[in-house]
Formats: sequence, C-alpha cells, structure tokens
Amino acid sequence: MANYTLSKEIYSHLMNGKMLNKHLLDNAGDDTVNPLFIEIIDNKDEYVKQYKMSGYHLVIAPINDPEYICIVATGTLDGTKTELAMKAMTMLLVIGQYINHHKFKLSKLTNAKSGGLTEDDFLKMADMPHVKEILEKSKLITKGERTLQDVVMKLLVHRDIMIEVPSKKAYILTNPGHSFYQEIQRKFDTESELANEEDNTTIDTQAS
Amino acid sequence: MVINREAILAGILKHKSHFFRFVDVINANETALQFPMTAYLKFYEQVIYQDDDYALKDILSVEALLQANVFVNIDGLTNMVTLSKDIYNILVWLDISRKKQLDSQPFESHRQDVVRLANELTTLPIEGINFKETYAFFYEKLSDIQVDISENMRVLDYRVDEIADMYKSREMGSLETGLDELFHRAQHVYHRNITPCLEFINPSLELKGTKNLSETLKDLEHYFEEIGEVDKARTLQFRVGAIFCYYKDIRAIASRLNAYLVNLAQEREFFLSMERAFGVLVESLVPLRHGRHQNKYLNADSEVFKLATTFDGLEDHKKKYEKRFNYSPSRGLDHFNNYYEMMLRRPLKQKLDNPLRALPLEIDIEEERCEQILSITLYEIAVDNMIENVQRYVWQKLQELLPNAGIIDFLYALEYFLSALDDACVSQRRNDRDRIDDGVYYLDYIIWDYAEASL
Repeated sequence: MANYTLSKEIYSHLMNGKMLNKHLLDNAGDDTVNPLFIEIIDNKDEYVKQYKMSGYHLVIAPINDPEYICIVATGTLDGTKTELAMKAMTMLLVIGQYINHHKFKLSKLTNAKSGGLTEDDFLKMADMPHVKEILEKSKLITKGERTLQDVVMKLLVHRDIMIEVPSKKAYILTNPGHSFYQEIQRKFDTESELANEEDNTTIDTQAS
Repeated sequence: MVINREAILAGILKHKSHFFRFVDVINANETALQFPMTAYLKFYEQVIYQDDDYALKDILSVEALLQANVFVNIDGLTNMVTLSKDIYNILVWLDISRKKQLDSQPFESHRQDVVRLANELTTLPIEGINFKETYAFFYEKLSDIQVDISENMRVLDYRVDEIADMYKSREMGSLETGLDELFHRAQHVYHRNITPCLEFINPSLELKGTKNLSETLKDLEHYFEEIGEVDKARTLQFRVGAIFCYYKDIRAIASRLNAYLVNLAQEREFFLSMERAFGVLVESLVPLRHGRHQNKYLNADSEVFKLATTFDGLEDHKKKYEKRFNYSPSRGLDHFNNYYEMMLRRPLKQKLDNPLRALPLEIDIEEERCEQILSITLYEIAVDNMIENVQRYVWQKLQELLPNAGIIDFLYALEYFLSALDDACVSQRRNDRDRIDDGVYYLDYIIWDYAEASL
C-alpha cells in the first residue's frame, strides 16, 4: 500500500521534470538509499497506474536492475526529443569531451570521494574548441548571460542528472547521466560490430 | 691482439652503462643482436680514450673484441656489428629491465624439444651411450626452460610494474602516452607475453595432435617407474615440480595486469565513444552555419540526438499555462495595444518572503564546530544565580560568541549548558511559549527558568 505522504513528495519531484535516483549522497559522500525510490519500487503497480491515469508513463530504468525513475507524457517515450532532453544531451557530451580533452579518468565524473567537476573545471570546459559554438547553437547560453556552471546547475543538478557532493562544491553523475554515456558506448560498439561483420562478409564473398 | 677474456669482461662491466645503450638499440630495433659500428667507435673515442686506464684502449679495441668473440661479426655492407649472445645475456641478466620478455615462439620451441627428447628417451636402451647423452641433453633443456621461465617472470613483473606506473602517472595527469597506446601496450604484454608463458606451463591445456609440457614429463616419469628406474623418476618429479611452481606466480602477475586492462578497456571505450559522439555533435553544427537568421539552432532532427534515448520525453510537466499573446499581423497594432494595456492594469503580485522552516528530524554538525560550541558554552557562558528564559539566554549568548550561530548550533549549546545546571533548579513554565529563529529555521519551545536552591 502506497504511503500517501511520500507519494505527494514523489509527485512534486517527478512533475518538475526531475529524475528520482536509487541513491543519494550522505555527508561523507557515500551512497545512501533514497526512500522515495524504495517507495515506488515497493508499490510499483499503484504508482504506474496513478501516472498512467494522468497521461504519463512512469519510466523505471534500467528494466532489470532499476537505478532511476522519471515520468514522460504518454506517447513521448521513444524518439521525442524535447528541448530539455536535447540540452541535457548536448551538455553531457560537452562534459564527456572535457574528460577526454584533459585526459581525466572516468572516475572524475563518478567518484564522490576523489572526483567531481568543480568551478575551475567549468571555466576550462568553456574554453575548449567548439564549445562556444555548441552552447550558442543549442541555446544553452544566450548572449553570455550565464556561466557554464549555472547551466549545469539548472539543467543537470536541479534535475538530479548530476548531484552535488556535500561540502565539496563539486558535481558528479547520477545513474541517468551514467546511463546516457553507457548508451552512447553501446551505440558505437554495435556500429563497430556491424561494420566488422560487413567486412567479414565482403572478405568471404571475395574468397568464394 | 689476444686479450684474456676475464680482462675484457671486467672492461665491459666497468663501462656497462654504455653497453646497456647498445642493448637498448638492439632491443628497440629488433636487429638480432646487431647495432651500428659507428655507435661503438664513438663510445671508444669519447669514453675509452679518456679513461685513466690506458690498457683499456687495447682491451676494448674492436680487434680484441672480435678475437674474443664479443663481437661475432662486422657487416661491411650495413656497418653493423653483431654482439655475442653470451655478452648480451650477461648484460640483460644484470639489468632485468632491459631483458625482452619471451613470446610464444621460444616456448613452443622448448615444448617441441622436450617432446622430441622424451620420445627418444623412451625408445633408447637405458644402458646405451646414446641414452646417456640424450638424458644429459634433456636435463640441460629442462634447466634452460626453468631459467627462461624464472627470468621471464621477473621481466613480466617488471613490465607490469611499468604499466602500473604509467597508469598512475595518467591518474596524476603527468603521462604523455595516450590512453590508446597504453591500452595496446598492456594488451600486448598480456596476450603476447603472459598468455604464452602461462599456457606453456599450464598442466590442463589441451593441444591437438600433440602433448603439452606437463603431459610429456608425466608420461616420461611413468615410463621410468614402469621400467624400474625409480631414481630417475623421482629426479624428474622434483625437476617438474620446480618448473611448474612458477605457474601460481605468473597467474598472479596475469591477474594484476588484467585488473589494469579491465580499467583501461573501460576508459578506452568511454574515450573512443565520446570522441565519436562529440564528432557527430560538431558535424551537426555544420548545416547550421549558413549565416541566416532562421533554422540556426540544433533541433530534434540533428543527427547527434539520434545517438541516445535516455532523456527522450524529459520535460517540466508542471507548467503554468498563461494566456499568451498571439499576435496576428492581419489585426494591426490594436490587438497588441489591448494586450499591453491589459498587462499594465494587472496588479503586481507581491512575492512572499521565504517562510521559516521547522527543524529537520535529524540534525548533524561537524565535530570541530561541536567542540567549539562545547568550549564556548562551558567556559564563556556564565551561569548566573537566576536565569529567566534559559533558552533565550543561551541563544543570545551564543549569537554573541559564535559567528554565524544557527538554531542547530543552539540545540547543541543548550544541551551542554543544561548539563552544567542542577536539574532540580530548572523549572518549566506552564503554557508559556517563546520562539527563536535564525532566518532559516525556527524553534518553538516552552520556557524554562533557572533559580539556584539558596534563592
């Protein structure tokens, strides 16, 4: 049976376009389980029904081992690139390229203890090649009014795609952010495999 | 000129740092022990000629080295000199970091030799001279194998240390080598050097049409037992044990390198996918650089957004829908004027001040601040004979003494302050409440008073 106090909190959280993550960070920077997440998982059917009746689809991902939850309007799950989605993707790609460009380890984005993007990182990120144009063309920064850190705060941190490490003023990825990078990796892996298969087929054909 | 080999070896060892450089040239170019004659002549001119020991000019002269077979051959065509295998081995034995790790070829050659010799031993009459010679050669081969495995293990350990150091330098951001190169280097050591060595002494490895080293030696041991040569069987058993005891150590090296490889593979995968995805993003900008004012922003049709679906449909669902101004050019400016006047008439809503919040259920502060509060409360807040409204008294004192004091700090201070008071002298007023706040949190409480017993 759903807890109606928590369900109100969950509603407010999800309706604001925020991700609901399995883990939060405690003061020491360790993972702690999010009670709102557990509430949904324990009463999944009720919550799915609640949002379905209101015209939303409750996304619990990944399916096998849920790590985060969000809602999308029914019918917009696949292929609907909302402005928000496009901006979040663009910003995460810029962050990913920053990790590559400065030869950081991936843990810079994932480890609360040793990693985290700081104000200094965002300043350097803005100076990378192509970034100025990307920010302009994706309407992430208009007329230089806001800094890149402000954009990340508003777009990723306030939506729980990234999370602030307590007492550190640094930001790391949460599960949806991580999922995005994994999806990109899988996409290119599959493409490489397909290309290899095609190559092999060509060789076989030539041989025969 | 004929020179005693001992003197030549002493001369080489005296200048071993230079000979190590020749070894480096040999290793780097894989020249089958050859290095440029000019390099040696330069060394001879600049180092040997300057040496205080005049005899070295003769001892390390090219003629003397050729005579003593330190230099096996000088190729007049390429002007390369071939270093003796023995001297090369002594030098790399001295400095293990310069030794080359073995790949599958020497191990396979060892295995084939052992299989062949073991077969011969089982066919030759045990008392014959041929058996004795083959038996001696067989043990020489086993010694070679043991030395090779043991030395190779040291080299592999060193190579894994090198990779570990490079990995750590990368973490510190001081490594020039790229991620891809580091990954391939680790992968090469793992697949080309560690795996063949492991397979060579792996007793459970099955080979098609032939026997592995372990099976060959076991079979020979059984053969000796069967024909009653128990001593020979025992001797072989001990030697086999000595060779195969390295298996565990090499497995440990393999798993250490594997841990780095897994991490490197993950990082490399991220690196490559991100390079490509960012490339797609930059390519998506190209059609937008047309210099016009329309269609110049990235949109849902841009290629880059087809890369992932994680955020599809993400939106602020709680939007406030207000009446929008839909300007229609056909209706002229009147429409806009009406809208403008309507907006001007609308009273401005006063934004409510941020209301105070009740304290959270669980509060926690840093240990340092806790100690600061403890020391302020116990040593700086005086306990008067009579205190009205103990809570406000502590709150006011704390605000004076502790910078940025908040309600949470106050709760700690109150706890410490009460511990210094006699419980019997603290009284609680009935239904007389008060409230304190720090701009963020508020605290409602029932007032306590304190009066010392004598009063």
